[in-house]
Amino acid sequence: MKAKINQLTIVSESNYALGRFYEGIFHLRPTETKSPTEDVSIGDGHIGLSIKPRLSGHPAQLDSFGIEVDDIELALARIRESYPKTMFQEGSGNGSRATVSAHDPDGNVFILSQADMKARDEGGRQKPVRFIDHIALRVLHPKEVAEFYAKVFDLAPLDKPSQQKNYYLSDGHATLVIIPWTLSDFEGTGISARGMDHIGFKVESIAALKSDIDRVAAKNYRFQPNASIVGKGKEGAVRLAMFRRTCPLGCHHMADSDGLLLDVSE
Amino acid sequence: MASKINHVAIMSGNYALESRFYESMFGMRGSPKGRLSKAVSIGDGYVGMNINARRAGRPARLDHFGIQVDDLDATVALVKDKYPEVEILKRPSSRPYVEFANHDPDGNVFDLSQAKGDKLKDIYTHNDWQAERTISHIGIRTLNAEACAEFYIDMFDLKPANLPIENAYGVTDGRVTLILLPWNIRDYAPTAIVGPGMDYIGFKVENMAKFKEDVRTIGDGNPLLTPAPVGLGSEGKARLEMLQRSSLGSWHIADPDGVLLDIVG
Repeated sequence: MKAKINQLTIVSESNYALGRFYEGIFHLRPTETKSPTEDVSIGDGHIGLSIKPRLSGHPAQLDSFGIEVDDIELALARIRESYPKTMFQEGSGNGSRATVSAHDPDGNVFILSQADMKARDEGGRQKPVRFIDHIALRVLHPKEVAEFYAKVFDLAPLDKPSQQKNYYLSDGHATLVIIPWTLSDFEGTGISARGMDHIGFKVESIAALKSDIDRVAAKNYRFQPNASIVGKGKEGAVRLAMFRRTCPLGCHHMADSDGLLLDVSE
Repeated sequence: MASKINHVAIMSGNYALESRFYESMFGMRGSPKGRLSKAVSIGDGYVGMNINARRAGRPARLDHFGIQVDDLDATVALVKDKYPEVEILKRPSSRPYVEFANHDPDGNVFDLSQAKGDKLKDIYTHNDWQAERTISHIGIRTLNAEACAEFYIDMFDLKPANLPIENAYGVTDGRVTLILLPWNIRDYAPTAIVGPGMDYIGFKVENMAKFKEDVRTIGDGNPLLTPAPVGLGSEGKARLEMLQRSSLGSWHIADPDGVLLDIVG
């Protein structure tokens, strides 16, 4: 089965401003023409980022992700056979654009969609200079969750250092990082619940990214990344050290204007 | 062992406003010894509510709850013995009310504190008055509700509570009830999916008509304190109906951040 991580969803109290942040800092672009009052839909040419407004009953957070497959029926059959406790929720799409909401064994929600993979197979798409290269989940049962994504979607396990407890699964472009969620990792800092943890970006140059951040923030400080609280204070320093220790892919750690953690590499 | 569900925490980007909302609408009170630069700590005379400033890496949400026990050492030993797979973590000294963090078998985080311990500060030192509007229950949607209920009963001697909610498991300290609801993605069919975790806070009020009038009057006087809308549009209506099916109250509102509140008259 061919599968690709094709979408991320953030729920935000400032969804339009947050969209501008990602457009301004990471050069994501609108993916479809929408009414100005609709959700923000932007992307890097490969992975779409949907930023929805926080409504009552919904946390403001990095919320869910999407996987596009060339055979949605096969994916669902695999889930039914091997993970009978996993429930589906049929989406509004149909035919080649059918979508299904589902979850992994730890309850992390993802949107499964059927797609024509031809465009990707042609391989002619040029990579943007800044793009999403990984998404990370902290889960209670990392081995089981990693097996789920590998078994159902044929995501390829990547090699890792033997002492690393993470699991890395690749679709050939982006990596799904499965990090064990343990309370002890939060020693000395605030505890985040299990679930989606951060977005990883690859950029052409960290120096150029920092320069863009300074330029944008100088024009409107509301677009300033939440850098003032990443690593600041005793607990912030512990959280930053934990971020670096538990996901070694990036070399620059920051947060967006909502406070969602971003792990940036060159 | 005596245990009490004595704490609930919200993570918010508008924590001061949130505090004003709960103080105005429900008569919750802060502590004269509260530390202005820290999280807001208010209480209803029994449950302390912390509204923590959202920081990088933390979602804005109804975040966790807390249990106070009369013998912390014995409780920790019991949890380690019976549930070796769950972790217990010593918390930093900056926390005014909690000594350990713990989680249930599904990973729902809660704070653990010693009754009358010298660690208690702020509202937790004198949260003992009679209020007319009080936190009566907390709703949690979780993958294995029954197993989690057994955990809270076995470890904290909370008692099973019969609830008029299909498939829900209740555990109570006699005043506050944890309502453990099976999380099922199909429940969200007509609305946006929210993953497993803390879902709503339940309040008992002395008089529903008076409470509704207070909500209206206070909101008219200061629009920033108006509850966030619940039930707008087709998806909002579906979410409200889902909340109505899985809660105890007859009126459902949300705080200014959108944290769901289940009001029992």
